Amino acid sequence: MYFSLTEILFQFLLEPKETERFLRQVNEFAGENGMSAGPLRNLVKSMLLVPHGALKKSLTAVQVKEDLLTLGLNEDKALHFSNQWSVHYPVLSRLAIGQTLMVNQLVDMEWKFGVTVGTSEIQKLGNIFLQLKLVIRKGNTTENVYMELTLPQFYNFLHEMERAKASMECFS
Amino acid sequence: MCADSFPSGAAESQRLADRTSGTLDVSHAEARQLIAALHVLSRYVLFHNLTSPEQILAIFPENFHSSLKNLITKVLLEHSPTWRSYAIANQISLPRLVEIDWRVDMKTASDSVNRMAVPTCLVHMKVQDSPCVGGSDPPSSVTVELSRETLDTMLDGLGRIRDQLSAVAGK
Repeated sequence: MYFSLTEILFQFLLEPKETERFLRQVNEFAGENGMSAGPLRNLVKSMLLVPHGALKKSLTAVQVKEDLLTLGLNEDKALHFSNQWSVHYPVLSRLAIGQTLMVNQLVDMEWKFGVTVGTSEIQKLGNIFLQLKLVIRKGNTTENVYMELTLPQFYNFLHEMERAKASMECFS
Repeated sequence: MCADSFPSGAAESQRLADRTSGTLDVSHAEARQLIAALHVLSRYVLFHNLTSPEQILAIFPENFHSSLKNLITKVLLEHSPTWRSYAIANQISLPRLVEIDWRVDMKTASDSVNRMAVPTCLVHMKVQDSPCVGGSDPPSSVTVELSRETLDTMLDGLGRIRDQLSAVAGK
């Protein structure tokens, strides 16, 4: 019974958007085991505080097990939970980091390039142009930014982005 | 005078007409006529990309004063490259990328994780509307944040553009 409850808990931690599914599973669990749903939901909410706190402090499986033992859980159950923790930790920590604030996050980039064949001023031309569309997340909506680059500007842009990437790689 | 008569507003410019009539000692009306004619001529040369003296000399009527014809041709040829670059720089286009700056930060903590070491990149782009569209609008700027994965994906895309460009240029 404890094992299946832990499983429901971890499923929710791995997919935090699936709140409806989580509540449904908790209610089903309550029904199957002859408990009332309300108190179980409250209990589970408190249980979630343990992994959230552990993620915040980047605790190892051993530390999580110690904490659970201190909280009064018995040896077997604490061990099971900490084993599950070490299995799922990489995904969970990546999720936590992914939730970190990002300002004007670049979500998508589209481009096209072509040749300007002529204008009202010059009958025959053959200049290459590049058009970029950047999709930026601003809060809950996205904004599109359009711009055009000449060939030298494109090469400069590429060069700068490569420098930025090299700088980022320095840190890892 | 040729250079002055090139820009779009030249034919209507009162000041230019005054200056011309003063310099050449002709009437105001004649000055305006001259400026308008020079304007049309320079635009014609630019549009059809006449780059050799023979091509330009061919436009003049047969009984046109010979040394004046040669002088005007010489001046037009001298100014053509400048005019061509100017026209290309001012053609209609989407907002142009004017400047780009970037910065790499290291995120060390957040409300969900007490300690971390995640690099992130901030890119600031200054874009300006084409001069012929909004007149002299001040450049607008946009700052974007990219995670490492996003930057990698973007560089992939830019690399593909570069490869396709070299393929096109190679043909």
